Amino acid sequence: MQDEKEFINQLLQPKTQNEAFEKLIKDFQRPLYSHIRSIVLNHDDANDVLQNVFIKVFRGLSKFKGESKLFSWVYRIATNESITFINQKAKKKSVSNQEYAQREIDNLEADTYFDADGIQLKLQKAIVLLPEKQQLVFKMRYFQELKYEEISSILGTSVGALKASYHHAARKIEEYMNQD
Amino acid sequence: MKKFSLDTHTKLKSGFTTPPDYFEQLPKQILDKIKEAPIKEPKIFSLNRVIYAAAAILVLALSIPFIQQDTTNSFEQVDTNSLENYITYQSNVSSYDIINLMDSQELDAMQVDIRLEDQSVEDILTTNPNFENYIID
Repeated sequence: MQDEKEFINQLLQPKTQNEAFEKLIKDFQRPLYSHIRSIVLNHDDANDVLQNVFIKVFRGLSKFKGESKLFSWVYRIATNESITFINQKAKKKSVSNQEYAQREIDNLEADTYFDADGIQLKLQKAIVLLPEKQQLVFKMRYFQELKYEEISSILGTSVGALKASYHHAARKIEEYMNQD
Repeated sequence: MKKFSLDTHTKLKSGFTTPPDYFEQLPKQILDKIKEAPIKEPKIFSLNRVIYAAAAILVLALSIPFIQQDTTNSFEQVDTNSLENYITYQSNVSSYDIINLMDSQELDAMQVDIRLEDQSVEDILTTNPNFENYIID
């Protein structure tokens, strides 16, 4: 990928760095926000995590060796930051990650930045009942429409295992959605 | 009622929204934050040096007992006979040099109470041609 190499060079050169980094933010901000928000659930937390992710990306640029794609590297940082954030929040409140997420889902109805009808809210409630890895895979595949190969490069899990996770998640979600 | 299926149902959206102009303002906010807090010089190098120095000192400190033990062992391995033979046949150290290295207490401790019969003394004196020199000394 000559274009990506060229872009990474621009990110590393002091003269072109600011302009290139602004482009990186603009390219990644929407998909990364969706990804982070789907994990941390409320807007304020998503905003904090997203800003931290971009700052970490900027400061880690000199260590980025180009072994993986820029996309995978940035998404990996965002995933780790979001999970760490949830772990810390849950620990502070002395609850499990799932209990914490459950409470956040219950608060969604009153959230200014959540605009969903009954079936969308029910889907969110179904997702939060899944094991963490299945939740992650389902959100990345269903909402963000990432390819299995892309998810594999971010999470470091084989495509086969990801497909199995998605299949299990989808089956459980459908089961929940068909309950009254 | 029709059963819900993810494959056949219209794609559902997450429902998450953002404040108006959020994505228009975000790049500037992030760039400002980066400018406000520039990257600090990493202290990894100096920290590594301290760690290496501490590790080297620790290794040296831990190896002192072994070094000492080795030295002691090598001395202990030499038996008394070998040491005597070495001093007698190989070394240039004379008995006078050895006496000079000892103080009077050590010499007293080494004194042996030898009881000689008069006849034996007479025999030694008559058979030893240099007895006159000993008397003069």
